[in-house]
Amino acid sequence: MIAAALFLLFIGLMLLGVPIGVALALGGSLAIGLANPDTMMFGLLAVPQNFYAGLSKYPLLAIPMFVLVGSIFDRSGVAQRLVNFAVAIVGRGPGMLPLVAIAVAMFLGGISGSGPANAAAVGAVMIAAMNRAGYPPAYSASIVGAAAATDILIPPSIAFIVYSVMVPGASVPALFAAGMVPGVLAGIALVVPAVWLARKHGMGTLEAHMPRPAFWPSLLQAAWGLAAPVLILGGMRLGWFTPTEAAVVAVVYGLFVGMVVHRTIGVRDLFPILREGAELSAVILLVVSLAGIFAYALSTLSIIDPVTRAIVNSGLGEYGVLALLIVVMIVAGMFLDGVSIFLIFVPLLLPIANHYRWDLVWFGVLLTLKVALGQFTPPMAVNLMVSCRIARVRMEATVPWVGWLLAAMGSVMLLVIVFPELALWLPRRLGY
Amino acid sequence: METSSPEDGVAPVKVPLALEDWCAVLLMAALVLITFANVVVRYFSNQSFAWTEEISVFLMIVMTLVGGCAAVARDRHIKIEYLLEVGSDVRRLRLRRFGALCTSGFFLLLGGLSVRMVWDEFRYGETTPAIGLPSWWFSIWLPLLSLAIAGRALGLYRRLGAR
Amino acid sequence: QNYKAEYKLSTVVGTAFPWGKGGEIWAELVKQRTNGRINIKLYPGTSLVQGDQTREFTAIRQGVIDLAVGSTINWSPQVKELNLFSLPFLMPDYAAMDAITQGPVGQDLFALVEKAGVVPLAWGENGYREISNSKRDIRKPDDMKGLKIRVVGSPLFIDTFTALGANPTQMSWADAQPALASGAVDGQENPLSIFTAAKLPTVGQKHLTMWGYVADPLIFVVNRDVWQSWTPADREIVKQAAIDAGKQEIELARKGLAEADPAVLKDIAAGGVTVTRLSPAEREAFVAATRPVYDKWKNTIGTPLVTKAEQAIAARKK
Ligand code: NA
Ligand code: NA
Repeated sequence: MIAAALFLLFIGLMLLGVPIGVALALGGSLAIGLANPDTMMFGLLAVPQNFYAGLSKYPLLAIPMFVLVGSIFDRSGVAQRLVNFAVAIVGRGPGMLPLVAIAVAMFLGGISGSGPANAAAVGAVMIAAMNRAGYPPAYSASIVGAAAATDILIPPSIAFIVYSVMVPGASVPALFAAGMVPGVLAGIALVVPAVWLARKHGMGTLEAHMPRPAFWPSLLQAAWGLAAPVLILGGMRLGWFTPTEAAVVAVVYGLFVGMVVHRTIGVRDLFPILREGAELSAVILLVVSLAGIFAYALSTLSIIDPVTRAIVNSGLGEYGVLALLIVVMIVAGMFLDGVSIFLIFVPLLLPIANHYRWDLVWFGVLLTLKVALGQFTPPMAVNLMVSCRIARVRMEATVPWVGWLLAAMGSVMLLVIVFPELALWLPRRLGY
Repeated sequence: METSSPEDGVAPVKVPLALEDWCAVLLMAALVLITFANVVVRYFSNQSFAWTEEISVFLMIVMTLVGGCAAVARDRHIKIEYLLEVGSDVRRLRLRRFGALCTSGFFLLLGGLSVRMVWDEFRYGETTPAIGLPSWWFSIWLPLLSLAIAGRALGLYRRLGAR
Repeated sequence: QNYKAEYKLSTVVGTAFPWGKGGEIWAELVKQRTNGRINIKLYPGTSLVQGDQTREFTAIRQGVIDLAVGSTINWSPQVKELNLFSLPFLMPDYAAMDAITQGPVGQDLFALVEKAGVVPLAWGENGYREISNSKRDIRKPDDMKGLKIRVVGSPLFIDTFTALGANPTQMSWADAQPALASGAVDGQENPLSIFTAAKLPTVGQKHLTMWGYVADPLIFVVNRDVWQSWTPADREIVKQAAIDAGKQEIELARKGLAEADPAVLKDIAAGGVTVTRLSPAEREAFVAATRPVYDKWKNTIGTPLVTKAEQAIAARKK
């Protein structure tokens, strides 16, 4: 009964467009109040306690830091120089600019921690260039949105940080390492339909004759950007710093590159950068803390165990259950962003994963792959929203293109399910 | 993260957002400086100030609440936009006002309940686990800023109606 | 009578550990002896407060948690006298700990817990806390220089480890395990039962030093309103069950750790961990280095209470 009230209120409010954190918290508070009629203040002191406790975790500090990194590298001029360097290598032939966009998005993925930040940085540079070369804007927006989705798989990744805070058994470095191979595979998989579609429809022929930028000068220009992921990932690997510290080192490095080397960031730009970073982090962290109230209600109502039992005894079998979870997540992913998906579903899915003894790091990579797909699955696709805004097209216009890209990345997900080693080999090799 | 654009036909704020923005910027800058100082100090002296983590976590919480405040006023919190996008302008406006009202309602509840939480910490003389300062110095910001968020949400409700 | 269908019992670790086992035994005994009138569900991992174990006590007082088996360390932010057990090198052996908990000092502490708004029923034990790390063997205070050590609960630990030249950081157990695994933190201090059950050698904790600098007892408690909602007969049952469960739990916690039975240490060493035992002279160096901290905190905790404890220890039967 109370459990039904919890879910009805939460889902109803969410569908009506109430902020997701508030919907979670109101559903949770109502359920707590109904379940504790005889307790002091209806047991509602659990609300501020869990709100505060949900936030007061030092590992969460990595989130504002990586959000800030995204905001800084967006303006540091790194993306433009990486693009020049990539064009110097592959040229401007048909299908080459989408290839460049994907490669640069993957590379920036080694610096930034979120998909939309990546889409903004790559989109700002690539979409105009692709327009000039004669690619349809909807196609360009699809490519950038999908390519940016590799960001949350390629370390660093805010999604992995949130998952790790929720699943103590899966450490951030292990998850970061586990995301590397699937992330790179996802990027490579996107190249296939991207180039094929471009050639098939004869796109991007307008500037094919233009000369390539010279190799060495553009490498020199791009060197600062090329060094950033090496610094961040290498520094973590060598134990120089924790993920949070790696983020802050990246902040300082990005500011140095933007303010001193490329001179794209002035002192006056610091205010909007910090403001944007603080607000976006606050939006993410508020959902994290409000979800703590929902989680308290969920666990004290004792509904997770029966639901888990019902699912594992449903006769679907291990792969049937996995398929069911993926379908549910795909539907949820059409409407929800990645962090909210983790906060809502991980408490429900973890007992199932434990029942089947799924490796929790592998499971985290799988969920993150799913979230990455959702980031460019219309109607609610955070990355596409950013890239469509830059390309000035409606999201519906991307439908003919994103289907192919979804299929490509979806096949990587299948590979990771069939061959868990794709995720687990690297963390084991690195000793996490 | 979907963010609806703040200027789409909403009346301007009365209490300037610069208030929250400056606080959020300073808090973010402090977080960067403290964390970076720890990395540098450890590099040179093999020591660091791990106890500053309690302060950093506190600053992060305050930044979340302050930034959340500004995000409410700009109507930028994460939500499912689907129903908001498909309906008529009138329905869209009604739904956004409903969302603002729910936000305000919840943060009023949180503010009220956390007054009780802070009072308890004060009354029983609780201290923080790392530094040993009175807990209420840290937690008092929860009711204050919850009420500020509730106020911003009510303001948004009013501004959505007053265009 | 307004009995709840289910009561929430919080512990920091689960039933794989003596601590969580103690909670389970208590819940079982209560259920049997009340014929199911009082039905208790376990919430390990302090999950009712998102893993934030230093918040647990407040949450019990506020009705967010109904019952708990909690460590004196985690509750010291609310009851500062519980820091008594964390005074470095106060208690040389189990007899010293028993002399405190089972004597007048224990009663004084229960009165203080009661005054802080929670009903204490019985003592249990987490155990002597030994230090481990991933970097090197610790034989003298100098070996600890620069090691980042996870501690929890009280600034007293920050002071102790700072005095030894280490770099202490306060974090919950839920955050500590990934931090140890990733090398964000070099070391930790916990009873051997936790060291083995949490499989800490698999996350690089290969250097263990038996220094027994502090020990933390556990306290079995109930929220005051919940306590008062029960009939006197049921209260008696719950209290006796807590006492019985506490005795069994202490037995579990001490099993294999006494000098006469080093089976556990043997197992640990077999797992590739170097176990360092301090000679009396080596131990004295740590006592001396932490003496200023002891004196400072004796004052903070309350000189009369600490003196009473010192006397009880001096008069113990060995
Ligand atoms: Na990334
Ligand atoms: Na989507």
